[in-house]
Amino acid sequence: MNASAASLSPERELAVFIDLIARYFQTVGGSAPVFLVPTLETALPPQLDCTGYMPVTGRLTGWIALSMPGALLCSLLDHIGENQHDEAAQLDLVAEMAGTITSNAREHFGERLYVNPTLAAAAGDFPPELVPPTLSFRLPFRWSGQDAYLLVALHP
Amino acid sequence: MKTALADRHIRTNDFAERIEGVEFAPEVWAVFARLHQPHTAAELAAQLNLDIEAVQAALRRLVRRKLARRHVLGWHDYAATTPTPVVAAPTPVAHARPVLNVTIKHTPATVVAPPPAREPVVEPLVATEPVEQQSAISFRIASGRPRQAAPAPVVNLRIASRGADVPPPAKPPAYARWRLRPVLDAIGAKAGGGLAGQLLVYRVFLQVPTELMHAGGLHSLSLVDEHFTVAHAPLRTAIVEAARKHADVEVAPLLAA
Repeated sequence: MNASAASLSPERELAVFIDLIARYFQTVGGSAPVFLVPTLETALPPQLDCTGYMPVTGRLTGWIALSMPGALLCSLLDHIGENQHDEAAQLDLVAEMAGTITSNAREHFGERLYVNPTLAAAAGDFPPELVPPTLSFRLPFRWSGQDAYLLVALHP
Repeated sequence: MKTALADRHIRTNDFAERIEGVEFAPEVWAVFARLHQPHTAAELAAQLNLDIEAVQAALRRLVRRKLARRHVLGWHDYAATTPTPVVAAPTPVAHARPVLNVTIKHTPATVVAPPPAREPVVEPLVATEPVEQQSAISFRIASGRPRQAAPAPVVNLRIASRGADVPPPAKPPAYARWRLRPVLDAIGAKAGGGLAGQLLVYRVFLQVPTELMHAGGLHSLSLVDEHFTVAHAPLRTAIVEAARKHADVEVAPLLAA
């Protein structure tokens, strides 16, 4: 575990998580996303075409999701040299992204934050394993001209 | 009935039932965020530093989605909430006129691209001054709940004419000073600002009962909103307690400043 992580507040842990997501885009897609103005939402925002869910437990319990439109995923698939762009390929990519990010998160946080196996779902298929939040933190971002968002959904 | 408020807009009372799934450019939401009180397009344009045409376009979009409406009301609603002045009263109309008559076109949901070259995160859209003090018309929005849920009227409208026989404008209601922004800033500062600060705000608001947020009209809160005021007393109390307990922030001195 990264020694500096031991003293991080929960919100700094979340910020690190978000940094990991930015780093993924930088590394795989060639440029970092531009984060826009966050909002607090009392209703679950509608999922975009594909969403990767990263459940967490420990000091923070809930899940973090990355919801993206198909066009953004197709751009990412182009970047990594994938010719297949259908929904199955997009879901595979979302699952891979969530897996990579959570793997890095595990390395960063060690036992302080358990990151459970990730889930990927198409729009309208909210995973039954997850509990919809009473309040979520929605952080929109733009990458390659496409709008997507990150959602932090913690239990009170 | 002619009303001086014909060019003002306000959120619809039941906007929360339709807001899910709606996506607009941040500028449109910035307009919407200010419609907890009635505003003219010109006022909004000045506050947001936008062209009035852009504000009018935003208002049209919000009206089409039934998230906002023109702020008009019938005589009975007006008379029910305001002491009748000692002048000849107009003949009451038989029925309250519809508040809004809009032809709704169903169009596919669109995501309007925000302006280019936005800086990463968290700069306020604009820094503007409150407008309450410059208006001859003061509003008290008691609650976003339907009437049956709250005995007080949903909108308490007082119109003070500029005539000499009218008492001076009432002192602004207490909630007008209960702006949420300083509270958000103070909480965010506890985590060093930036994204971590905004996430601390989120964690604090997680402790506020959702039903109170709904009752207080807080359904979607932009963390850079400059003018959101909290009118719902139980919601204020819950925010104060959550800020103290989870962020060690005392709200009272912030509001007195």
